[in-house]
Amino acid sequence: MNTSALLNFLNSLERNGILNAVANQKIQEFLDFNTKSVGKLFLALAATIGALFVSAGIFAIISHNWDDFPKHVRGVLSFVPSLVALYVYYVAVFKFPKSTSWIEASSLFLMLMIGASIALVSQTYQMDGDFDKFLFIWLMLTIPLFYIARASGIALFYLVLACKFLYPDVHWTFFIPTGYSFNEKYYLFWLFLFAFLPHFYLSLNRQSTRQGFRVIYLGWVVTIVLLIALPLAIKAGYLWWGVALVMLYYLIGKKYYRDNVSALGRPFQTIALITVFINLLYFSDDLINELAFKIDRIEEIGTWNAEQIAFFSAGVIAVIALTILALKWKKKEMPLNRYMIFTPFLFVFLYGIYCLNEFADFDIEWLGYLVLNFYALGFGINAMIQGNKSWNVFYMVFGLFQVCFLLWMRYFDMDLPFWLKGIFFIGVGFMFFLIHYLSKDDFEE
Amino acid sequence: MKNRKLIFALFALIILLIPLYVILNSEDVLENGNRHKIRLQGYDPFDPFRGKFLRLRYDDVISCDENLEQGDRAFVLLEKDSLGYSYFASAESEKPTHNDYIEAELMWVDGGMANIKIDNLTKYFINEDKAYEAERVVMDFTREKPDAIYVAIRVLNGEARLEDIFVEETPLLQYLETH
Repeated sequence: MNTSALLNFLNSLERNGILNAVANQKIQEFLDFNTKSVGKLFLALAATIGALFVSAGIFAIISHNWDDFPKHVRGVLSFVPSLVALYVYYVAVFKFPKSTSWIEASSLFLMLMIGASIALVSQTYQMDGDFDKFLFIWLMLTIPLFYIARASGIALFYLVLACKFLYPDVHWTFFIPTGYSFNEKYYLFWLFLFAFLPHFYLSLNRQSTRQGFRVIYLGWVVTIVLLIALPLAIKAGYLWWGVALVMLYYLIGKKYYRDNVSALGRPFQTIALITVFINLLYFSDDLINELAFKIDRIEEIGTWNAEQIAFFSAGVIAVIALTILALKWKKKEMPLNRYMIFTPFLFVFLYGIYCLNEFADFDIEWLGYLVLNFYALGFGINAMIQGNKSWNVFYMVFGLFQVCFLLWMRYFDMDLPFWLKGIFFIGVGFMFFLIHYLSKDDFEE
Repeated sequence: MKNRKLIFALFALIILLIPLYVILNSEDVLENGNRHKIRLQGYDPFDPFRGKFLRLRYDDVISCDENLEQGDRAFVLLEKDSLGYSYFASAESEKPTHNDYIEAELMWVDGGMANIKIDNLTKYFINEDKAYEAERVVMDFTREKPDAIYVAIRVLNGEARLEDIFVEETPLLQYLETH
């Protein structure tokens, strides 16, 4: 139903005495606010996309290569994109400081035109140059745009470009990749991330548990970029950094986003839950897997360099600090999922089993599998119960999927006699019927 | 508001100073740098930001000091052969006393030989309408008359700039206009 149809419907409810005039007015005010917010978002998006296409067009014009002009004229022309973009940015900042569209579009335009000016100079002087150096200067010049007028739209471009410093150096032999080495300039990714984070913090509505479009967008950008970039951005302690990241996402989500209406409006919680979902299933199949437990080679810690020790320590400290914080918040009645709080303990337990297995030749891996499978099952069932309590059907479906996937995996890899497995899974099937039966009254009514 | 304007002015100044610095630096190398002629090969790919270019290839596998390793920056010496063409002779860890060298990163090192990454000399940006013809000329000459085509470069304080591609002693763009 569109807004005008909804307003007619509300007015008809009032006419028929179903809704009183005050409630009708309040609902209409709420709808008006939401419509205006979505309208503002549309305007900002349209202006930003416009700036993007104009910039793309300017890059195409540059690409023509106007070599009929003398070099000094081309040198002067190199400044034109930056000068025009600076003027547009000036107008945005000092004439329309409250217009999101102006600020976002002009910031993106200026960011891209800084690159265009440098590209023009390098074209004129035949410099293929060092791309990393070019990118470093470009991103350094972008940082003030986050703070002068608080533009957020450029965050996506900025952080994706910063990931270039994590991209491994691929070695080629006769056009075939024969190896790679990790990018040694990975610290620049952290530098640019930390330069951006204060902007994110300043944009948060810190007094509220509900955030607007801007902060939701920033949340999605930060969570996805950091999640993908993390394995290349750290040098040791992969397991602990992974656990710490999930905890951090979950706690930020709960503190600042928990009252946003949908999963799309809660990027930190959504990503944390999806990550836990995937990892629990993954570990339930391959408990002591290479990527999580063996990649650090903890037995060689004596030969580690300072960088590796610093990363490992930071990962462990982050897990401890975030777990303590989660327990404190839980004590203060914040609605935290106890299975999420328990996640670090689970991984410490699994790591203990790995160490006993690997270094003391004491194999109790079966216990790890047992605990992890029950944990994953409990996680899924808890999600269904919590979803039912809070009338959150998506959360219930999430829990249902968790349980369902886990059981399907066990169906194929469980080492039991077929007759016993058959009876077990018939029981599981009836358990789902039971869940359906118990939930029927709630939802059909 | 006044502070904000000051910050904006400072920011704008930095944005404009960077291309200006690159221009002045390039002009300095092109004006005052030592001139070298280098043999080349070429083809015609595409750069999404700066348009068409000829990728220029050189003999970039050279001898190097024993103490140098992959990823190191080295001083690459330029020497001349009997025909007057320069070539990248060796990668040294010590800065030479003369000016005929460039600074380059070592891509790999193996058995006293190194592959050098040459900045600023491997792309010749060209107008989109002339790229195909230029590629054909460069390919023909490098195959059939390699002594009649060369790249002129200028080096100064370890930095290099491409002056032009010369075909029968004529700059490439002029050659394309007259042939």
